Amino acid sequence: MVAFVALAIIVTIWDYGYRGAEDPSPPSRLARAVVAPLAGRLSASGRVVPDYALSFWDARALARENQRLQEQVDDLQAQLQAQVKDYLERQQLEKDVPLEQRASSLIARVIVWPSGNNPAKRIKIAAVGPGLIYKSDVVLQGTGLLGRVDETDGRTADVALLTDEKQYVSALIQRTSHFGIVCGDRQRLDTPYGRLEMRDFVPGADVRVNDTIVSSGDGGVYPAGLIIGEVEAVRHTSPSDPSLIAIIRPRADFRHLAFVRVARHRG
Amino acid sequence: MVVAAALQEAWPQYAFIWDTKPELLLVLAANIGLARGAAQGLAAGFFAGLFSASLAGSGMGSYLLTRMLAGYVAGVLRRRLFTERLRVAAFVCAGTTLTAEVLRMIMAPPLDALQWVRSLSVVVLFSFVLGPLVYFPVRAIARQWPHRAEE
Repeated sequence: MVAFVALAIIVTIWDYGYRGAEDPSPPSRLARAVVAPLAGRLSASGRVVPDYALSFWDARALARENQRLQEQVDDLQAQLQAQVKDYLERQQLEKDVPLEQRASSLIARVIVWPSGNNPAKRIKIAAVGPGLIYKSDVVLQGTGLLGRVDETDGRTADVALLTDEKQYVSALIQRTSHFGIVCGDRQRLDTPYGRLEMRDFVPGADVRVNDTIVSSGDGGVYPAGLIIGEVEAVRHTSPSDPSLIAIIRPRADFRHLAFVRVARHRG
Repeated sequence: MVVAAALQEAWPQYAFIWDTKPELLLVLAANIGLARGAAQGLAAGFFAGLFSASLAGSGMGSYLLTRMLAGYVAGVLRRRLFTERLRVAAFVCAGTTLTAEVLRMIMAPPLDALQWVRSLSVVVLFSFVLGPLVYFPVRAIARQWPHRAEE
């Protein structure tokens, strides 16, 4: 004990001699030299702990952010796909419609499509681009007749489709010019969805499968020459009735409507 | 003692309380005195003071005196207290830390008294908490070698 006390006094006096000097006393330098390497290693290790803690905390926040961004990406991808589909439909529509017809017509988008499995009888459309929709304007998809405007406020309109059995179109067989009446398919049990039927033919009418049916223009409701569809099947009204009914596959696709063309018609 | 000095020097910033870190060397010197007796406590205090003064860069005399005194007093208390209890180690470390720092304040008065009081309270708290933790290994090492009779 005495030795250590004496040593302490000696070191204190020795260190006092270096007071104010730039360099520390030899005992101080020796002590620092012993401690410094280990202290450096421990300092470096000490930084790892908060880094790991922060990383763990940040990882949770990043995971939540990642999930939110992934949901956003999924939404945007779905929107992009829908827009690409619409764009392609519009391209096809412009390709199908001759330039002279485009000048007297405008493009509209289907905004209300009735739900359910039954064929739609009415849809709601909204004009795209400049122009107004008028009552009794004719609505087409490509070159296929869809229906006519029933009510309108100028930029949106309700359209009565041909699939409504109460809608009648005076039509004729393009090959033979024999007249008939086209309306929505009444016999849904044995015909595919979205078919039309042609009946009330003139006596002796010659109608065959694959005949093209066009509007006749009679009555002024629809202009003449609009393609309604092609004959898919011909049958009798009933076994005892010789009257013919032609099942028509419409040119327009009543099940997939996005963009339609509204043609000016003063009926 | 070297490890304690390195740990004290490398104490991480996020573990500071009120910009104060613990006096690990002082705690170790007191624990050695408590485990081995006055003589060993004095010797441990010498090295604790030497390392503390070297790391602080000044006050060799005050550090040596206060740390040696802390180790000696803890060693004296060894025979008077039931030192097997960890609570004893906690209170002895806190008490010797308080005494040593007050003595050093008298020998080398601080510039900011309020700051010194705040630092002192944190250091004493650190000693109270770390004392039993350091006492565990010190006591285990001390038991490896049979204890000599007190001088």
